[in-house]
Amino acid sequence: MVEAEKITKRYGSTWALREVSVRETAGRVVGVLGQNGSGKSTFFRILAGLARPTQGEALVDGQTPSHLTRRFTSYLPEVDPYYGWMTIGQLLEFAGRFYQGWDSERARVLLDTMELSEDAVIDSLSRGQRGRLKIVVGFAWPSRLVLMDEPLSGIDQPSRRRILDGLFNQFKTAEQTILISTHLVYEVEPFVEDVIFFRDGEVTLQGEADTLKRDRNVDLSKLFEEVAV
Amino acid sequence: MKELREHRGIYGGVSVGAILLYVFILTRVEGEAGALFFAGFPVWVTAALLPFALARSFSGEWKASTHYFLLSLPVRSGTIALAKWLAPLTAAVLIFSVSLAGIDLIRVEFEVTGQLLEQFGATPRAVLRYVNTQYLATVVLLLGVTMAWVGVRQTVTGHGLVVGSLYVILTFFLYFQFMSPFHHLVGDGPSVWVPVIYSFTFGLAYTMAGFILFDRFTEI
Repeated sequence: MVEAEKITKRYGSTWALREVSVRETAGRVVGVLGQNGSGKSTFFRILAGLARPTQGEALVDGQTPSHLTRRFTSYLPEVDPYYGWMTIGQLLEFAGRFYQGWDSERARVLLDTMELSEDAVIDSLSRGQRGRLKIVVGFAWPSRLVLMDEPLSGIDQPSRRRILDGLFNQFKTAEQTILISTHLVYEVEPFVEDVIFFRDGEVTLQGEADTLKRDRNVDLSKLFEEVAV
Repeated sequence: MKELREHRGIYGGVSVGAILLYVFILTRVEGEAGALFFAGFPVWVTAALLPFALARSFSGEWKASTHYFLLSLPVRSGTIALAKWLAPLTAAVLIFSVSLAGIDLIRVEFEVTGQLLEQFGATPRAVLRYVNTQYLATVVLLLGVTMAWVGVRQTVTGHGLVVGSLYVILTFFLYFQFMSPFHHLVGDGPSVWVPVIYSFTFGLAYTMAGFILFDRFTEI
């Protein structure tokens, strides 16, 4: 589903990614773990077709990321990307026009789960509510690839586990591949099947989470400290 | 629609302001000099404002980080640029149409101007129609120059002052460079409509260049 072959991204003299190679099959939940500035967001933007690699090749479902692959890719950026003047209902109506298979009923269920009201104006939402709104937009249609860049930032700690539980147990479909980036490793540890560790724009370790934990006899948080800090 | 709705303040304000001014001209202005001035005033003011509104609609997205959402939609970046360009163009066409219709409704008798123009085989209303079409052509030209500038900024990041200065010089150079060959291409005899057609053509060519650059080089 996701392939990257020695992708490098440079911004002027700054290296955001250096020879990153990744291969993930469909249906997996992948934790993309690394500190802030380690290259996770750049990697996601390349997969979403919003940035081009300086060198190397990225493929999503066998295609170079573009507007065509965005037809089945949900990209949830780290920033708050929605129009403040819109109500949640207006935003969902606007987004729904672009995505094939947009499910209004599913969006309503997601809104309930995320405790959001359609009438609320986006400008009036707290940071946590905006984070939850991104999840609603990202999961209200049957995307095959979900790129979640630090989706938990701004959401209060008690809600985070509940939201992740809901997402992975209630809303994720079997064929959906989810890449979730975070530095809060312990919170995604119960859900991720594969992990990719980033440090200074390079992949320092990747593989099946259970295998890595078993082979090294440590949990993911410890592993994060060893290879990503 | 989203563009018109989001920037309803500027596009709506410009359109309503211009239309109100026309109503004022139609109902209150009596002198022919005043009528001629007011007939041209709204269109030229909006010609200056609309390109800024277009540039602002792009910079506003980047400022508010909403470009993350917009560009992640499953449409080409060029389509997004097209939608943004269409919004000020819609306002311009609306003002142009009202202005054009207003010319025939003005009750002022153009005595002095009429006698003067008669010597050249023209009428005041024909001149006003020409001025209005020239306005629309100028808006298309300026929107094109703005659109191409947006595309250039996506292509060449940094060194804003240098790139901006070069862009302005190059645009002026190209505009005047192609004017004469275009005149020969369109027709032999001198025609007042050639500059209008030229402005339309040049503006649309720049617009296309802007779309292509924006589509090809926009990154987050």
